[in-house]
Amino acid sequence: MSVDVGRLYERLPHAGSMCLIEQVLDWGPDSVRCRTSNHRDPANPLRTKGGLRAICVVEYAAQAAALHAILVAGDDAPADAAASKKSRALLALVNGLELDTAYLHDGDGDLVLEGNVDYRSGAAVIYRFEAFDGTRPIARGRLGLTS
Amino acid sequence: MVLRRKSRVVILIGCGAVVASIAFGIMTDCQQEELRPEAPMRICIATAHPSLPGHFPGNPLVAGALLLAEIEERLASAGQRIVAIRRARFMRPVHPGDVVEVECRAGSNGEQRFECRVGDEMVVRGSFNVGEGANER
Repeated sequence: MSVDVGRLYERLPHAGSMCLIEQVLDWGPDSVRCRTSNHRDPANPLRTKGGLRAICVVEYAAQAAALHAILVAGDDAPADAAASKKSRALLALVNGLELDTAYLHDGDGDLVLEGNVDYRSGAAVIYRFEAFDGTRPIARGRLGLTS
Repeated sequence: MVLRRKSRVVILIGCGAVVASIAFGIMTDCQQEELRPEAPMRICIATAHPSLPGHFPGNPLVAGALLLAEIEERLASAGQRIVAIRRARFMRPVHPGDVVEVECRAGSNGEQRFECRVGDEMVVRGSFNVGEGANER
């Protein structure tokens, strides 16, 4: 079943060009796989002087994780009702991150993010993630979110 | 009495200079001036930054990844880039206009320990590894 990403973003504190994930390809109780193409956009809001630095994969992975958390919660409440109880999905921790590349914007393919829940406790969740330029692995690590 | 007036004027001028220098400091930081890697690093994401309208609308916050990317931009001027983050703990959100002071020092096993503060408050701390080749693919 296809996932309406726009509807999920209504429940996250992200809007406009900062909604970085374009599509959820696949998800389960403890895993999620997403793709996007805006890493190559010259107007990407996270670009710094040199371009879109690979470190920004952390924000992409965090958003994939936050979308997954909304999917798992499964609350189908309409957006206005949900707006008052938006998830904050704050990045709290990055651990063991490896970056094989300097930039994301010069990738050949879609940016694909795979996340797996490593640990979940109340409002905190830790994901292990891997990022791909098409099928080529470019980054991996763990990140923690608090809501 | 005359002396008092004079001292008041001096104090006023003194305060004005401090305020002016702080304001000037923030302005130049927000223009992302080029800093030497060995100089104290200051990062300030201006309110007009394109990521802010869409990141926590109504209470805009600086994305942690953007802060790390700006640190890396400073390292890039020395031909280095971040190849790994051992750990980074985000302790407090960074708001637009906050002046983040970044301190880096060499740790064990070639890692760089870094601490980011806004005023006296720690906002991010951790360690990363740098490699050569700021622009390599």
